[in-house]
Amino acid sequence: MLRFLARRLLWFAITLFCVVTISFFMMRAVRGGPFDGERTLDPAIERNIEAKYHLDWSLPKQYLQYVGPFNLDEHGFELFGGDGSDRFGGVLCLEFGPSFKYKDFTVDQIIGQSLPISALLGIVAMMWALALGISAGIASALRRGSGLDLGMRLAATGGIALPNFVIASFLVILTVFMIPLFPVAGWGSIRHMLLPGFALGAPFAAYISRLTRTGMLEVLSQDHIRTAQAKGLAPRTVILRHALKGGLLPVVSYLGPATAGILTGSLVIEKIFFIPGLGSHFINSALNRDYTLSMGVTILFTILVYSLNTLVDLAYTMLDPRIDLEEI
Amino acid sequence: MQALTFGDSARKVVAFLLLGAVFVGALALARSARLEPADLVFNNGTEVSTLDPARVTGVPEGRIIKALFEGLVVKHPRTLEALPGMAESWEVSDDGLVYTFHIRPEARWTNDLPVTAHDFVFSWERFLHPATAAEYAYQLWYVVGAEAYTTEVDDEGNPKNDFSTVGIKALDAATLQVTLRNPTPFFMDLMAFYPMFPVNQANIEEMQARYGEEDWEIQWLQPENLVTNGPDTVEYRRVNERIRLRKNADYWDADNVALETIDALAIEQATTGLNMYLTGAAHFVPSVPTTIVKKLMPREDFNPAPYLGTYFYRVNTTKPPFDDPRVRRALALTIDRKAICEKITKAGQIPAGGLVPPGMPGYAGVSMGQGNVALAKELLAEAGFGPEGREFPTIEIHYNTLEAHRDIAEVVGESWRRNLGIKAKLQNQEWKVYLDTQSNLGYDVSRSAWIGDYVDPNTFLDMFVTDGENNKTGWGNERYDLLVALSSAELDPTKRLELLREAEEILIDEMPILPIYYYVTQNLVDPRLGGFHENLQDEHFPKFWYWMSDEELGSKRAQQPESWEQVTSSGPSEGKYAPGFTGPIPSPTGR
Amino acid sequence: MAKPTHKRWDFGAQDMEKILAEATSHKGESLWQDAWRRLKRNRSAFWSMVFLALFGLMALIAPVLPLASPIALSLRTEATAPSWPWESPPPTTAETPKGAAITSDFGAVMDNGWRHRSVIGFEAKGGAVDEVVGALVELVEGVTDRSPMVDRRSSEGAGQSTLYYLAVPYSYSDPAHTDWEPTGLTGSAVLHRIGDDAAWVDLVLPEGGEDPSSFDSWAVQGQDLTASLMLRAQGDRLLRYNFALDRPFAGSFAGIRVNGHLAPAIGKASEWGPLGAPRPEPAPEEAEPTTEGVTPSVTPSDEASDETIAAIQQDSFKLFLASFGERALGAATAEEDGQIVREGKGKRKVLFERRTAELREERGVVHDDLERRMTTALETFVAPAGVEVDLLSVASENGYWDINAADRFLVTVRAKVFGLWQTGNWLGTDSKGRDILARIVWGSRTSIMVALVATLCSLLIGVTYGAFSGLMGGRIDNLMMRFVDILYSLPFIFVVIFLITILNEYKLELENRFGLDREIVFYLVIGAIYWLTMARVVRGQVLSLKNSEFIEAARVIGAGTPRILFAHLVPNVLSIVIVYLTLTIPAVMLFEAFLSFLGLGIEPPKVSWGTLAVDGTEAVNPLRIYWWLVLFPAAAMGSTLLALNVLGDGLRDALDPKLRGKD
Repeated sequence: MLRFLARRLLWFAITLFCVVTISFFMMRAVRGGPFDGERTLDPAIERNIEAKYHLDWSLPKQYLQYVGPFNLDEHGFELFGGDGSDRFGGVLCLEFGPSFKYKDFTVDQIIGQSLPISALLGIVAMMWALALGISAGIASALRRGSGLDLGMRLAATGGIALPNFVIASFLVILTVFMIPLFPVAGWGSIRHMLLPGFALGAPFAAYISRLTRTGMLEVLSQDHIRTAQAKGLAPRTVILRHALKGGLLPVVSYLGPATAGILTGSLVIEKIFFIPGLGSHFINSALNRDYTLSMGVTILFTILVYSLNTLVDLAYTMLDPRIDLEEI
Repeated sequence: MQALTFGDSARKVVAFLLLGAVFVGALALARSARLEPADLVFNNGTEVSTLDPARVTGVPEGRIIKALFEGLVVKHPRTLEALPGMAESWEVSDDGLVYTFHIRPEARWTNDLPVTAHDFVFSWERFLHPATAAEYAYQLWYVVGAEAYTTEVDDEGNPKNDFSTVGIKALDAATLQVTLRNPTPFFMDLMAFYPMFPVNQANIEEMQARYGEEDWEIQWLQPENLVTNGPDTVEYRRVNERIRLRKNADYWDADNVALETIDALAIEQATTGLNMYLTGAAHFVPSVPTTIVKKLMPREDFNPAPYLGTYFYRVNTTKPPFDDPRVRRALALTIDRKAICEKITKAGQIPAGGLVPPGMPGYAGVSMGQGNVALAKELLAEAGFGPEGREFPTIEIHYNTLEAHRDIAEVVGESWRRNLGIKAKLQNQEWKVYLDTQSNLGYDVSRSAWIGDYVDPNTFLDMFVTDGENNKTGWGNERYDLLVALSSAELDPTKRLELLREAEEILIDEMPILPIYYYVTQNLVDPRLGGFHENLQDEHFPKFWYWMSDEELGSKRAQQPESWEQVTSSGPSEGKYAPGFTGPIPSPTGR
Repeated sequence: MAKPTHKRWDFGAQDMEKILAEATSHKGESLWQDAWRRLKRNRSAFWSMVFLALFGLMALIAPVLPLASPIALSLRTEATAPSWPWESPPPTTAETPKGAAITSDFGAVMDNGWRHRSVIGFEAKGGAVDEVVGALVELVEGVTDRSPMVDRRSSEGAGQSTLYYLAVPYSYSDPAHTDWEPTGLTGSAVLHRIGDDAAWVDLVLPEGGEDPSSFDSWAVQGQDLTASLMLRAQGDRLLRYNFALDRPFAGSFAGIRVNGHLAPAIGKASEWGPLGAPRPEPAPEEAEPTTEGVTPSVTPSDEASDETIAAIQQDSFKLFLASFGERALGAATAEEDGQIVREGKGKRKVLFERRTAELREERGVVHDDLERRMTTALETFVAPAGVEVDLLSVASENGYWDINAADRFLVTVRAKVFGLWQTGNWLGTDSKGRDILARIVWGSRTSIMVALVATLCSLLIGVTYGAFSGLMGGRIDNLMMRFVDILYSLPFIFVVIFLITILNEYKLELENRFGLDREIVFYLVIGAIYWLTMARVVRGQVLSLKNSEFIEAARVIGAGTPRILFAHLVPNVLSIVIVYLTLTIPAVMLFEAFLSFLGLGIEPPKVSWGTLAVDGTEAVNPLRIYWWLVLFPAAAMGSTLLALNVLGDGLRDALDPKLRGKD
């Protein structure tokens, strides 16, 4: 187990390095800069701005400055020609720099403010998704071919096929304007979270129900279930204790991408419900060419994906004894 | 078996505990600081890029800056005339070159220091300093020596010239003298423009000392550190959500500020803004979804008014066949502007015949002929295209991805196809790539828009001088350049506007741009909100806002034509605040 | 109180026999045969498949369907709600473009969307309406050979005149040369190639023809072994000369020389000047010499020598430069020795010219010529007594974006079968008056394509990659999965914008050399992004399967890795793969809309389900709900996906090796 984690950590460092390097250079290769706007700036002013943000440096130097740990600008080490007032900086010192677009905030501050909100929204969405998805999936697997199954599948298809902004818009009309149950938008209390959480979780619930159904059907036809049945165990016990474990395997492997998807894919929901979360930064920072913020969320995303995938791999071994941890 | 079950449940318990802990932790972190509902909530449209007056551009930033800081002069909320602000009075020399401002003695910063002329000298030095990298620095280049101060830098990035070469002097603590290069008739407008607002020297120096050179720029703008001199202060701020403004008790005119707290939200989705407005969660939203403009038009809370902006297409005049003015003219003549205004934008936009929007005092404006298809065909034939000549190549209409732009591009393309038989292809690009393409002249015809910074034709016309940064069409005309240059030196306003008009005539004759329409404002405002006026620059001043009492609302409604559909107000019904502003507003002109 | 029994698990002797019998009878079937047999038995899956096939077919033959134009604008302030087929479409606005409401006997079902047509407007004074309509229809039929539809409006003026608008379907097959008067004469042609796909042609007109310079304008075209010179006079006279070429030629003509007079390929004949007496010519049957390559290597058998040809080329190229130089996009220079060198983007220039010629050919009747021919026909038109008819306008409209040859053929079929008849706005229109039904059907083409590409990439790359990685395990697995992790973590917006940047730089090269246009690249991007998750999912499954007994067994009997992979593992993970695919497809369809936002997706006026859905975003708000803008695109997507799901489940069952031979 420990060896597994240590190896993962090593790989994690390599992966992160690759992602940071590739993203950094790709970002700079892309057309348009952070300070382009409807009005083109006077060349002199543009030069001043570039100097202020070190955009006039060579790319490798900008990269070294960004990654750290040594500060290369005029405040860095005396050795590099600086005044020594601020020797260290960069990602390796956990300094992601100031945002280019939101000039009053550092990237750390922005992520610090919006990550908990996104996490909370994600948890609510995930709860909706798991609760609805797994129960619907089990129900339709057990009553395969029945009206219930068909209904669940219809609902699930609807959940997948209707884009979540459509679901959200209709939900708002229904539960805010027709029956005033929820606040229209904003953030602050549990009541604010239920509606966006549901809209965000709905497609994932549909996915999960489909995966659960398939997984359950798969497992139910296997020998050990037949054995358990034959032993005379109650159907409930068979399903909950024996079948569910194997049946949820596909769901578990889906949870990693799904969690990442919920956190990053919440842009539309955040806009509709006016939630100051992280999702909008994933897209908007790239569109704004806010290099630092974009790198910051990319790194965050990499960490998330990586740790979630590691968790998923761990969960595999718990759910399926056939998988050897040492082999992953 | 027993052990296994126990292990299972223990695991479950741990899992649930963990999940619970995460949930509670996130909940605790994500909760807003318990905010009382604000007296007034408005949608500012997007997150402001910064609160630093020297470094801002953009309308949403302007709204906030105007609440936090106050410049030498402020604008009248309806007519936009200059009213005394930090300057109690001012004098202009006869040649229009020297402005002398007398600073209001009772004006105070929130740290109790008096506002002095030295604050302005400090602020403008900082504003012009290359290291501040102010995007709007050029707006102060009308001052002697200012341009050189910003643009001439040594290897270290410091200005080559001393600030004493710049024509900004504090004669004493209460007197500020500004010397201009040319008489600039709109200089007082600029003084009310938010980048010129002062910052507190002591505040900045303290922050620099406390946080060091790297971090102070972010730290001094934090609500707890920022020192302001305007009607409001920042109380709370969360990125992409809200800025809570609280009335500044130290403000010199605090008696006339009615609202205690104001929330500025950063809602980007027009539908969400509308939803919040309709449920009373916001009292003023600056834009509405186009799909329902028709529904809103008859309502009393939606009153589009002319706005100082023009929507037009740039033509790449370096690329054949668009290098032929006849071709450009033919293209301009055949755009169905009326259909665009009536069926696409719908809020009463005015089909544009020139670049400068109507409403500039004293400026007659230029208009090309509208929709003359026969003439356009003739022009095209003269240029060698048409049934007897060459086939016209497919035009690429270049625009940034937005539904409204796409809709207009589709109509423009259809107009050309129908009227001239010219095929048009739409090419959309993401905003930054679009800007890049436009600057590098990588387009045929490209969507553009320009919002005036001040009420003068110059803000539009100086855009198209040869090789201007914002020209982006490759077009140049010596006479045009000359006229624009002459106008900035001309003292007589009538003659000056005549020069500008002549310049616009050249522009419209040569057609490096195809005008489409002039903007209108699209504010949806609670009918009870007083002190809110539609004006030419769509500028709104939180200082003057108040809630009307029932009587006042009633009398306002009585004045309106009956056809206007009354809507319920979501503001305080019994008129929480009496009309606050009773100051010396000149008698209203215009609307 | 009966004891509850678990019937499902109760196998009697009879059941066993049945199972055994079935197992024996299907022993010889391959996995796929067996799967197909089982799939056919699964009724819902089967019908889903039929539904999908029909849907795909509909997308494929969309141009044949009598739908309104998916792109023609008919601006209105608000989107129009759906109308029943038997209802009249609601009046749009007072200012509908004239001729927009072309109707026919079908009355209500005819709306104004069939924009692939020419509308001819007449103003008539006096006479009974029926009489006038009859005469006008006859007139238009005589000219166009097609029956028009009529829209009648009373005039705004006080002069009691009536406006009639007659619409004629615009068919791509309307050949320009149908009314060229073939002269039956064949002249001689010498081809001078000046590039890969362009040439000058030296024509010598045969005797007995007319003086071509007396004609108004001309065009020259060539295809395979023939070339033709078409002359058009001011009046109604159109002449066509045919010329034989001895080598196939499929390029464009940069210019011609007629009896020694140089001219560009299209233009005014008067520029030729009087041609004088045609020179004595060899009989047309005699093989015409053709010059090949940049320098003429073959000497024509007649009087033309190397020098003259070189001179021709020099002259012709100068002329070429003079006439096209203005809009020439690249530099082209004629070198001293008579060789013509093209640089840079010369190729594009020539392509452009060729397209011009083709377009003119295609448009022939309807687009270019109709107005002139109507005027001519009106001169001899005998109106009913007391009726005065004036031609007001002739306007042609194209109802589609640039479509390929196959679709053009289908549009022709449509015009032949349905004429001008088309469906009304049964699903409503958007605020620009475009028919939602037509947009959904046309949009399905893009979306289905996107789904197919993503599916294929997922299957080919994702499954193989994931299964291989899982099977190998250890270091290889680790390496492969970390690679996926890296790709997964890269901010794909930058990847996409980066790709766009590169594409724009090499746009021409890609298009000309590899035939890759923006749309194909866009499909490739989608494919490149969508295999990652699939690889992870498959790997997870394989990990749990690879230690199973049947894999051990396969290994023991000496099966190689590929065999284990594809014969044993992949069939066992297919069920998850299929379910996952049916879940991915809608996400891909919406992703396409997002790519369009970034400027990579399809370009307007083309549509897709994704863009339709996104366009509906603003359609739902508390003041007014334009439900049809959201509901119908979503329903189209939903029903397709439901069918896909059902089919996916059926496939899952059918392909499951554990269920082989069972029902």
